Amino acid sequence: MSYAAVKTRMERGEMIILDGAIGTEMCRRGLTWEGHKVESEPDAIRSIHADYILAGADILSTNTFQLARRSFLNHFADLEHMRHIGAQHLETCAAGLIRDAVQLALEARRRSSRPAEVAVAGAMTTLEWCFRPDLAPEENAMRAEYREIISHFKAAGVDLMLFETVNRWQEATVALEAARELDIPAWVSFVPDWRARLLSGESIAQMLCQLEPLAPDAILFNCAPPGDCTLALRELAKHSKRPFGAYAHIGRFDPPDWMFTGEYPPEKYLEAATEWVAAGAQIIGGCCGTTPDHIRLLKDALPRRAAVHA
Amino acid sequence: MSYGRIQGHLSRGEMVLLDGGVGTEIYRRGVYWRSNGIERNPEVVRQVHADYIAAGADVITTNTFQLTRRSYLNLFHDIEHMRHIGPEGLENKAEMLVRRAVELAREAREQFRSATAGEVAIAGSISPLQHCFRPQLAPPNDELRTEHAETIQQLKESGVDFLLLETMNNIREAVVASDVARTSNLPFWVSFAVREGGKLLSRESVAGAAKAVEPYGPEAILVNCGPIEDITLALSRSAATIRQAGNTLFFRALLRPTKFPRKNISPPPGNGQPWARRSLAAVAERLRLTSRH
Repeated sequence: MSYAAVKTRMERGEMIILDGAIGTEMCRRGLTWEGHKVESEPDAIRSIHADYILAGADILSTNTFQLARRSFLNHFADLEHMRHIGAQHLETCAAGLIRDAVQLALEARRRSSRPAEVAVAGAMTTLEWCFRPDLAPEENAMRAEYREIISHFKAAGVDLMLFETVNRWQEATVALEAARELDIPAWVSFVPDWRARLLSGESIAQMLCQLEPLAPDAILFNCAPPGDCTLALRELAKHSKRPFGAYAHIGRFDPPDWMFTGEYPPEKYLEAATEWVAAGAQIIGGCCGTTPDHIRLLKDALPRRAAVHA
Repeated sequence: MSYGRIQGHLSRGEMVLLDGGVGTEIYRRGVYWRSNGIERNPEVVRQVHADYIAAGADVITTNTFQLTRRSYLNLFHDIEHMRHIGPEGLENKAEMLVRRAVELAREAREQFRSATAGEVAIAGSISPLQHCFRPQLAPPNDELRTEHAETIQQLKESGVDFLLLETMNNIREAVVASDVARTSNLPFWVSFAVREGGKLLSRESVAGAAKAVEPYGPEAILVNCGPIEDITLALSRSAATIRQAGNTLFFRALLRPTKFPRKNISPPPGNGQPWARRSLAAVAERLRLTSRH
């Protein structure tokens, strides 16, 4: 499905269901995050995508968390040191892994029973660690890297970009500008804190002012507990004229893995999602810790139309 | 307290043989690098230590690379965020793992108590507070002091014989860590990570680094975690300076060259013998033949 079809559905006021977690779902299925498993376990990744399609997801997000040259370079003193002691593929492997990861999502869609109904979103998080707004690179450095990474996604064939787990508005503006230049639809999803602000402490109203001229196709919140997303969405709803939504994490971040706590079985996650819908959310899915069962219940139980359009 | 034996070797001009890679060896044996392998696969960690003792190492190094509060905190926005979305107890996890890591080294040594003439010494490994290859990230001195003191205290209480400040990537951090190590009253060694040209990762010289830490009284200066040719270059360039630095300083070819772990490393041979075992034993033999006063 092209993005145009998603857009039409959103304009008609229909609810859009995102997929759930990829990374933590790999852990739950006995794999680790190490290396994204794009090369070593392609069947496992493809079957997670397939399970989300079966569960009813309208959007698949690619298994590309923090795939950037910078992520590898950060383990070395500098480029010269990386070339000196690192494996030979480190400078180029991020691009290759993005291409292969997108392929896995596209293949899962092609082999599914409803290829025409599913869009593939290129998932891209912050250039530095997603929970550390203080580490964000200088704006000009970010610009070049966003262009580079988005072009890899576009060449690989995604329908839209999903800038997710963004922690401050400035990086979101750089990402959106690059997406506009490369002419690809873009959603931006921020990590909220627990006081209806961005993780950086910046206000949601201010973020909206900054992003509005760049016309994001949707604004979301993700990678925070459901209650934090509810608070952030209610604040967003006061100001936003664009489609918005959320996908929360459930469980606990236990580096380098995820701790599954059972605190949010699908029924309880649905209760939180119902509050998001009440606040006006039109796009709903799951972040770390969620499973195809969570997405299936969202698809079956949430209203077909967003509250603002009901 | 087994450092006396090592001190004896050094004062007599005898070679001292360290162990080999611990983290990469655990990884090579198929253990996922979570909590340094300590929580889920303690038996593998213990066996790696034991295999190095069997291979002839005089010193085994604790599996404590980057086990600090900071390593966990770095993955969150701040302590409040960590408490909000992290599991309970994450703040104290590094300390728990450090103590358990020392226990595992001691248990491995215990297995050999009757089998070897002399007891191996346990070196408590201290690494840079930030990523070991990123000198530019080294925190301010007050943070270095507080946090290194914390880990050193944990290692000391757990019963290490001496401290190995290793993979040090810049002079400033090595100096602060040496000062803290000195006040712990444990003997300590300082080892610097080297890069192309045989320089520190900060591009400072090894000789300059050795001079800078000398006033704090390290028992030995080493270089580690660079490719073999960089280690050789660093040693050949700085040996004279280190020897001149004072009678208390010993300089020996105590090398722990490592490579960045690569994917698809072949599984260990069926008998579980570390690949390094034979070569380490050969080195031990050769060093004994060539060591002299």
